[in-house]
Amino acid sequence: MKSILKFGISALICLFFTLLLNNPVPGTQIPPLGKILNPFTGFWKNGEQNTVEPETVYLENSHLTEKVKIIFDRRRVPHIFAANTEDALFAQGYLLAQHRLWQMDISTRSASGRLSEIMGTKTLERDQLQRRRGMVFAAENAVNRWKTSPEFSFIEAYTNGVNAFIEQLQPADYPIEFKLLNYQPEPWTPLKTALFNKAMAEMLSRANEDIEMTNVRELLGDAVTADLYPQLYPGESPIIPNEVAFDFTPVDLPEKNPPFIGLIEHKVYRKPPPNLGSNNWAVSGSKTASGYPILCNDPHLGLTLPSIWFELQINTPNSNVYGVCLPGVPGIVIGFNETSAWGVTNVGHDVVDWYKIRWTDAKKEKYIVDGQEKSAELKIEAYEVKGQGTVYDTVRYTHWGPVVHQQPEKLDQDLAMRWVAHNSAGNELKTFHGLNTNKSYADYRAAITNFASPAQNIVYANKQGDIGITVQGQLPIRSVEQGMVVQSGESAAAGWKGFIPMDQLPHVKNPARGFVSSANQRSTGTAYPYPYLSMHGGFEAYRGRTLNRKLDTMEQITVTDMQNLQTDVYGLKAAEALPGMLALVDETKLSELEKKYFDLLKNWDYQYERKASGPILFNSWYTLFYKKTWDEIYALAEDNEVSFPRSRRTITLLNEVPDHDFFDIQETKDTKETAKDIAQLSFTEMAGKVASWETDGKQLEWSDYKKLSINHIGFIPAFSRSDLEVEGDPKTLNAIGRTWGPSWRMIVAFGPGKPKAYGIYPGGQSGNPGSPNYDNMLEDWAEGKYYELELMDRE
Amino acid sequence: MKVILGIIGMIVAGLLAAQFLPWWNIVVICFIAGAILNMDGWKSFLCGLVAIFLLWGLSAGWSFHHGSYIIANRMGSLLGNVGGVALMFITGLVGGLLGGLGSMTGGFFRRIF
Repeated sequence: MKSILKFGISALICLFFTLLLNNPVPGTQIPPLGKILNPFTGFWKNGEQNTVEPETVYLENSHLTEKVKIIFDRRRVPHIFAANTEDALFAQGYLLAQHRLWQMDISTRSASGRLSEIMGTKTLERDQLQRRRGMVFAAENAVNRWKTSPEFSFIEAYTNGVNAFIEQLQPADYPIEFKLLNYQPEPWTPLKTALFNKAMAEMLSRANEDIEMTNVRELLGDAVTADLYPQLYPGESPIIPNEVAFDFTPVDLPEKNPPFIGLIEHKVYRKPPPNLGSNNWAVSGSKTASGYPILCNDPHLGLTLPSIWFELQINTPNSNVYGVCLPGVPGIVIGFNETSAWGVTNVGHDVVDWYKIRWTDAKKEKYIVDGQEKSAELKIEAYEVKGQGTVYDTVRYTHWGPVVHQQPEKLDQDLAMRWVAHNSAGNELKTFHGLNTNKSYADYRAAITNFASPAQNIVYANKQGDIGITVQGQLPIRSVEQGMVVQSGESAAAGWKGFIPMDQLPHVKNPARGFVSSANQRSTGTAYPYPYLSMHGGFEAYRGRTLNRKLDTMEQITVTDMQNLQTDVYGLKAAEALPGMLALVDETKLSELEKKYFDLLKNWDYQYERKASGPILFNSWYTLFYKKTWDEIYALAEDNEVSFPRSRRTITLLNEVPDHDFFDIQETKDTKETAKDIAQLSFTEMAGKVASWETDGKQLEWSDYKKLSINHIGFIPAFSRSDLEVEGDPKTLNAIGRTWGPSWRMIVAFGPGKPKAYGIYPGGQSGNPGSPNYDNMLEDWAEGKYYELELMDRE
Repeated sequence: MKVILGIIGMIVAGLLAAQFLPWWNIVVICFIAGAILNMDGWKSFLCGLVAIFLLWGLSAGWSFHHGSYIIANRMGSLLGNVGGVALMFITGLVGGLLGGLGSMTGGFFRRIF
C-alpha cells in the first residue's frame, strides 16, 4: 500500500511538471519552458552559423521549370538566377519564407484581425477594429481582381515558393517567435499577399482628420477655422513645379460645401504616426558630374526588427533587377535594373471620408439615403480567441462602406468609412512587374497606370537621360474642402464624383530645372484643376521645400553629394521659427543660465548634428511655446477630438501677428498676453527643464538627448534595439524620429555601363534574432554609411 | 557500475528519441530506465537528473558553440537577465529535474510489484 502511495505521489509530481513545462503558464507571459529550452527542438536550434560567407545554392522543386541558382553575398543578399519570371518569383517566395516567415505571418494576421487566435482576448478589440475597417473585404476584392489578370501566375508562383519552404520545415526549425507564442506556421495564400498590401495601404493612406476637423469647425466657426487651419500655405514648393501646364479638360467638380452636422462624439482610433513620409528625387545629366542621371529614394517608415524591407536581385533572361521587396509581396518595390531606376514616396492626398448613417430602427439593418430605405449588408465575423472559443461580431456594410465607429444606443451617430483601398481598381502585380522589366520612359508610364493604392509619388530615371515623376494612384474627385469634415450619409450627392482620370494625374518629365523630387508635400500648385486635400492638414511642410531649394543650387552632382543630401540635417522649421522667437525674448530679464542657453541658440546653425545643443534647446522651447499658444485648443481637446494648428501656421503667427487673440493665455483673465509673453514664459520653462537634464549628468548633445529605438515587431525587448545614437529630426531630410526614419536609402547613378548603386537599411536580411544578419547593418546605417549594390551578371 | 550504465543508457536513448519524439520523451525514457534499474527513490532520482542534465546541458553547449550563442544571449535576457552560458546550466537543470522525476517514478513503480 505504501509503495503504491509513493508511486502515486511521484507520478503526480512528474506529470504536473511535465504539463507545466509543455504549456504556457496560464495568466502570464511565460512560454512553455520545456518546449523552449530543450536543446533538440527549442530555441537552441535557432542559432545560425557561417552565414556571413558568400555561398551558392540551387533550388529544385516540381513547381520549377528549371533549377534556380541563388548566390548569397556577404550581407546575405540573395541574387536569384532563374529561367523565367515564375521560377524567379517562386524562389523569391521561398527565400522570404526562409528569412522572414514569422514577420510574414504576424503582419498578415494583424491585418486580417486574427491576432487573438494566438494572443487571446487582449488583442480581440484590435482584431474587431481591423475587420470593421474592412481590411479582409479590401484584400478579397484585390484577389478577385488579380485572378482575372494574366499576372496571377506570379502570385501563384510566389505562394508555391513560400509553401515549399513551409512544407519542409520541422518544428525544431520554426522561427523562435512561433516557439515562444506556441503556434505553427500555416500555408501562404494569395489573400495573404493582398492583406500585406492592404496593411501598407492602412499605414500610408488611412490617415485623415475628418472627425477632428468637424469638431473644430463646430466649436470655432468657419472664420477661425480658416484662419488657424489653412489648406494652403504661402511659399509652398509642390511636387510638380508651378510652370507645368495642365492641358486637359477636367471632369466637372461638384459645387457644394459640406454643411455643419454637429459635434462627433466618437473617439478617434489610433492613427498611423503622422510624420511617416519619404524623400525621392532624380537629377538629370545636366546637373551631374557624369552627365548621366542619378536617382535617390529613402522611404521613412516605422523602423522595426526585422526590417520591413528585404534586399535581393532577380535575374531572368528578360530582366535583371535589384532592390528591396516587402515580405509577402512578389517583385521588387523600389529598385533599379540595367537601364532604369525608380522610387516611391507617399502621396499626401486624403483618400478617406466618413459618412454619418441614419438607421431606421434599433436592429440597424436599414438606413436612409435620399429619403429611401436601403438595406445594409450584414457580415458575421468570427474570431477564434485563444483560451476563450469563438466570439462573433456583426459588421454592417453600407452604400458608403463598412460602419467603423458605432454607438449602439443611438440611431444617427454611426460612421461609415469610404476608403479608396476598399475597392481600388488597380493591379499592383502589373505595376511592379512592369517596373522591374521596364526599359524606357514609355514602359515606366505604362506600368504605373495600373497602380491605384496607396497612392505614391513614383520617381523615375533612366540611362537614356530621362527623369520624371508621377503622382500615381486612385484619387477621389471632391469639391473644395469636401471630405475635410464628416458628411451626412443621407444624401447620395455627398459621395465622390469618381476618381481623377489616370491620364490627368500630376506628372512631369524632364523639367527645365533639371530635377524632379517629392517629400510628401502638396502634389501641385493651385493651377491644377482638382482640389488637393491633405490627409494631415498641411503635412508635409519642411522637407519638400528644403529639398527643392538645395537641389536648385546644386551643380556637377556626384554620388557623394547625394549621400550627403539624403543624410542632411538642416532644420528649416528651426530656421523659420528661431530668429523670430529669439527676437521676442527680453534678454535683460534672463538669469545667467538662461543667458547661456540664449547665446547657444543664437549661434546655432540649425543643423541637427550629434554634438549640437541647439536642437535640444530649440525643440524643447518650441514645444512649450506651442502648448502655451494653443492652450484654448488643448482645453477643447479635453472633451472633444480636435485637430491642432500646424507649425507652419504657428510660426507665421509668431512672426507676423504677435498680438493674435490665440496668444492670450486663457487662465489669466485680467491680462492679454502676446507672442512676446509666450516666448518669455516658455523660454524660462525650457531653461529649467534643460538644466535639470544637464544636472542629471547628461551631455547637452542632440544624440545623447534623442535616442532611436528599433523594436522587434512583437515588441520583445531582448530582440529589440534601443538607445541608438543618431542625428536628424522629423523635419530634416534625414528624417529620424524616435521609432521611425529612413527605412531604406538608395542611390542609383547611371553611366555608360551598368548603373552604380548604393543602399542600406537599418536591420539585416535575416528575421532570426539568433542570426548575425539580424541587425548587422544598423550601426553603419546610423552613421550614414552605404553599401555598394551589385547587379550581378548571368554566367 | 549499474548506475553508470543506467546513466549512459538514458543519455543514448534520449539522444535517439530526440530525433523523432517531442521533448517530453525524456520523462518516458527515464521512467523505463528507473523501472529497470530498480533503485531507492533518491538514488533513482539522481540517476535521471544527472543523465538528462548531461544530455541537455551538453547538447545545449554544443549548439552554443555552433552558432547558438547569439540566440542564447538574447533568450537569456528575455527569460530573466541571465547570460547564454548560465542558460546552458538552466537548460540542463530543467531537463534533469524532469529526468529525475521520471526515473524516480519508474523506480517506485517497480517497487509496487
